[in-house]
Amino acid sequence: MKCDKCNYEGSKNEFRYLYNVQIDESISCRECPKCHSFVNCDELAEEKSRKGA
Amino acid sequence: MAINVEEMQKKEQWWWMAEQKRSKRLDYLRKAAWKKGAVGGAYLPGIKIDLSRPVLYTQAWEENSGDPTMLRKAKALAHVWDNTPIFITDHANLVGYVGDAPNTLMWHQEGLFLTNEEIYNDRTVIPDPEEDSLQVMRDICDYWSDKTALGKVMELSSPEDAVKFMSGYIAWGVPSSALTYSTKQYDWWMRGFNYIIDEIDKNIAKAEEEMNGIPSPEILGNYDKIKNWEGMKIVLEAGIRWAGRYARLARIEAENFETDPRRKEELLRIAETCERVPANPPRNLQESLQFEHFVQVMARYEAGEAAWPARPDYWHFPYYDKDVNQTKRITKEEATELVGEFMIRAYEVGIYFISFIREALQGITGTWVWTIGGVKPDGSDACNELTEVFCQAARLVRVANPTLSFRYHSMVPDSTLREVFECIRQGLGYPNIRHDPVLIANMMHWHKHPIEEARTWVNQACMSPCPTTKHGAQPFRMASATVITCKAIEYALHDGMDPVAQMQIGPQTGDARKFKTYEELYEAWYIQIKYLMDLLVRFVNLARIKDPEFYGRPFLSGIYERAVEQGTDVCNPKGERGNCWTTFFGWIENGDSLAAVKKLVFDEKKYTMEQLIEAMDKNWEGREEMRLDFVKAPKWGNDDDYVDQVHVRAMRDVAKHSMEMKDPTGNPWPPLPEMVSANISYSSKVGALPNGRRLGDPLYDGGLSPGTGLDKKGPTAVLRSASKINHITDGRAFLLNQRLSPVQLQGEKGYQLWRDYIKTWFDLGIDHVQFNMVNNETLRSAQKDPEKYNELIVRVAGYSAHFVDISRKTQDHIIQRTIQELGC
Repeated sequence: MKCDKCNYEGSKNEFRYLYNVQIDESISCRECPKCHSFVNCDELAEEKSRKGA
Repeated sequence: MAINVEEMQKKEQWWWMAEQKRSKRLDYLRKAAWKKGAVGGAYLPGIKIDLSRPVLYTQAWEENSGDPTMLRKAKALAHVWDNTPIFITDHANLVGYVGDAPNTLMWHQEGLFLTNEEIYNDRTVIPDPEEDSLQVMRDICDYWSDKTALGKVMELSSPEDAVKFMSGYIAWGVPSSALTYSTKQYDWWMRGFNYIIDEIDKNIAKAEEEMNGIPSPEILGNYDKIKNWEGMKIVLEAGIRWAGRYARLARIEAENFETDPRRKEELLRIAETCERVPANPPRNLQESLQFEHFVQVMARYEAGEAAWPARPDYWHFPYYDKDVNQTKRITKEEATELVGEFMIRAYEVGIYFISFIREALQGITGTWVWTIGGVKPDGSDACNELTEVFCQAARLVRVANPTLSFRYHSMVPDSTLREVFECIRQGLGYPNIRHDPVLIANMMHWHKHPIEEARTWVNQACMSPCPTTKHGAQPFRMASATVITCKAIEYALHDGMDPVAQMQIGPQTGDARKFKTYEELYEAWYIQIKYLMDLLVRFVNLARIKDPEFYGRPFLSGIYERAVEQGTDVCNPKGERGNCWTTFFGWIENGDSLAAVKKLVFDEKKYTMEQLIEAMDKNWEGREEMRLDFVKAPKWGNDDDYVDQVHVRAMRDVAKHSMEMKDPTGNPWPPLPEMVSANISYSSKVGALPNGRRLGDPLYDGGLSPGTGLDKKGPTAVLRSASKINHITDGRAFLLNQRLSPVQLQGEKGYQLWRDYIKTWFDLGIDHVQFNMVNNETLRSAQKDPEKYNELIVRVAGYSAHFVDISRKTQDHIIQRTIQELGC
């Protein structure tokens, strides 16, 4: 994952889960460990890409 | 920005429109009021605690150590009211403040040791000079460290219960009248304190005569009664003196300093008003409103009253009618301005709340839900001109607190309903709409209130109806009978273990991985929920029965006929029918979770219990597809019997248990699902759930509201689901949040659509509904430029708040709510 604000890049687990944007969608808000900004994460796409990788 | 009122109306710029429409005086008073609700859990800069009360109270308390609680507390309060600094704000016509300066919050140091520990470390609220204040606070905290009411309750309770309760994971609130809600008996206190003092004197004289007669066991109780009566009398007399201090101050200002003849006249009227009330019954609207304001302020000097049960249009109408329609002493506009000021005075009342309380009441200082409309004791329509004036004044002052709650019935005049709708359309988020016949029947079912008394009901806090009568009014209700109910799901899945707190809180109901049927899961859940309800109710029952000894309410006792007649502290349950309820936070998650497990694990066998519990333990991490399956399982609010019947069964089973749990009056504890803003503050305390929620996600926002954005089939389907619950026998009340489109509800057509919706809601027998009518564009703009939207109000749950005063997470959650299109 990458933070839009400070460009910090790291694994998803480094970005603390905050809350979902909409319970029936896979987009969540996570927190950048460096600048503490909100970072949106598509949990489903991220999981699929990780499994694919 | 639009430049005239019509343009503002078209653009729905309600906050700027109100600014233009209200009088200069009202505009000044509104802008001069301090915002005392916590924002993101912290008080705003400039808000300080009042140290006068704790210092004066503690002095008198120490000096009267030989007295019983009631008498000792009365003397402490009298000492406060005789000596605390008072002030009158510019342009005010109503006076009386909770605190010694306009920017202060009240600290009840004798109530909760938790607050005392926290307040000392909350540097934002300590008055200047800080070092001096800290020294004073240290002395007060040291003195009260082993004497607070909460500490005494904790010492007496079972250690196991105390540890679980204090964990903060299963309950919200505090078991003491140090933080409570009391419904006032209007027809008693409005007779004037002098009348009550006369009654007390007669009772003392009669008791003394008995005591001087032939000895018998019957007269032994008189010794305690006399002390109680003396306490009530001391505090009522002190209340009259306190009002007299305002009268004197107003007269001094008028006669020595004021140069404006009009203001001079107003100050003299304030003096006359405060010389008249609370000593004597009111004669006009100003005296009537001032009387109620004094009573509410005095009650907050005595205890941390966190709710404001009131029915202002009903009780103040005779004075309005006399002034405006009969003697024409004042105009309707002047009366509206006075009502607006009455609301502003309530808005600026603030009590220092401990953090977990203020986090669940974001943006407000307590749930000041004022009840309007309804019926009279004989069943005829009680709506009147003042009902409409309150709605009009609310739109002018646009305060988030108090909010209005409208008792709807089939006889409500169209003109009144239009005023109610206009408040909602103009984005106040209130009044909420309550089903009057259903709630009257509900009170008769659960607490056997006679119909004439049930018809007098007011909201005791956000939601629960309570009569205002001698035997029906409930003086003591604590939010600590508030259960975080979705914990029952977590405990059923984890054998009673709390996976977030890492504590064994619930009973051991077995390893859920081995459950073979849905019935096994349901039974485990039912045991867990009953356990939580029992634990919390045990606490509150204990706290209530010991409250006269541990805390004492001489003032509240004095304004209750029952207590004056009996010579008891009002919290003594003798002669009261009771009106308890257990608040259920996070209720709908239970049914939605149970239904999802039923469908995906036991019916379709797509997943195993082992997989489910593993997913819960991992907070769904790495299992997004599975989580979405659970989210997409049938959900409440879509008129789907598969899930709705799971909810109905759960509700009915807890209602059955509620009937078995008894309060100190011997009456039941019906459940009341609602949420305030605890859906956010408990989001970090409730773990992953089978409805698809993760630890951290907001909980659902109501008590009967569908999950946010999960109501996919329109407003009628929501109402149909909600109507499957029996709103008389399944619980006390059920909070239903709905969002409506401000665009769709413009103009006369908009009103007709909404009125038809309300008729459908009424016909379905649903007890409550409340609306947000602000579009997402406005809310998102307010997130970007909060300083431009200071007066934007939204309905949070059982109350309203300024949008900019609630957390980002709460804001996001409100934006996520489905905007329902009516008539679709």
